[in-house]
Amino acid sequence: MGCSKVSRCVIYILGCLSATGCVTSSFKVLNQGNSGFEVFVTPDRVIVECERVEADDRGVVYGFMMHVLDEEKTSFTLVQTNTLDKESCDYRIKKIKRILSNGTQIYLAGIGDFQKSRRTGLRKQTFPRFGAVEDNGRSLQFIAIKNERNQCFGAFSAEELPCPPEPFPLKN
Amino acid sequence: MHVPVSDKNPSGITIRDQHLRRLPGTYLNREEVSENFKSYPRKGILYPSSGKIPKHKNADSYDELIAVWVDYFNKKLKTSPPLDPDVFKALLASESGFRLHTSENKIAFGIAQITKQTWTILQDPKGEATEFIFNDIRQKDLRDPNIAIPMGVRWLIYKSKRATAKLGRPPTNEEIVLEYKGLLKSKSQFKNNALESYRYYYGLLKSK
Repeated sequence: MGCSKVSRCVIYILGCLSATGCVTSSFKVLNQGNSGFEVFVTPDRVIVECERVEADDRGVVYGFMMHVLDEEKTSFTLVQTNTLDKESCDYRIKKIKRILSNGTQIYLAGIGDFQKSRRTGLRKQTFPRFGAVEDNGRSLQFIAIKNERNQCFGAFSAEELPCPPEPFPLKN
Repeated sequence: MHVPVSDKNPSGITIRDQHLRRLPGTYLNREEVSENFKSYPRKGILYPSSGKIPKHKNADSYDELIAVWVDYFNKKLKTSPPLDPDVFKALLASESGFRLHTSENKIAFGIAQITKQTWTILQDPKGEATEFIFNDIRQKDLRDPNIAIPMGVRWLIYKSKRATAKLGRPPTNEEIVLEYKGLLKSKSQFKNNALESYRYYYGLLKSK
């Protein structure tokens, strides 16, 4: 009887972990020098966005961004720096959400200054598991996202191989 | 000019009183773009900085194209102040990461991310940009850096004039780049993030 209760309890806990994704959330910087930036994160730390932008002479365009929760509980942004049409932006959301939902360890690559000092008070990003978090003003060019199942998407190369594109992944 | 002998022109010679007045170089078709690049004098032209963006594989591959076409249009259009080739190179880094074919974008093409609208305007003699425009450029040519770079430079210089008109003062380099991206007046978060990336690349190119 007791054994049964323990089993049920274990099943309940595993069910909880599976349903809520309450595995240990992590953020690990692999590289952040010499302009290249690489990090391993758990998927709960990444949210994706297509911002609708009224372009001056071009009608409506879309800006693709990924907001990432860092080790200081602030968020920085990986941005696709060219504007997109809605369909192309939604395509990115779909592909990247699939990479996030199928993975537990997510590799992100970007280019920019990750050493720039954090600035808060600008705006907040809302992460489902962590709530509203201060955006720290750091912004890097999005290069690629990949999970441990080798599902990968490059900002300018989509699913072309190699992904991430050269010279990523960087050597330590 | 010679024409077939007829009652109207018994001598077989007539005067052409109307023909397309086309100053050499005012329209650039694919062949002229190629010829111009090959024959353009390199002496004294300003090249963009090289070896400063190691994380983009082909960052320095287009420096000569950038140098020639920035110099060409600066001189032809008498830009003041002249366009800095590093501004255009940093723009390419942020628009395409120096990739000739950027996947899955249906509104803009190639290394300079030229839109269909821009491609049309740059070939329309009655359009917004009337001097030193292009002719007979196909949409697929926008994936060719030999075409996309001169068109991108021409468009950026045009956008500099548009930004001046919008702001009522000479624009900064960043404002010209925002105008190229269609974001000069935008209040979006994306604008700030995209500008940050351009600023980063421009800073790298100007670093010692």
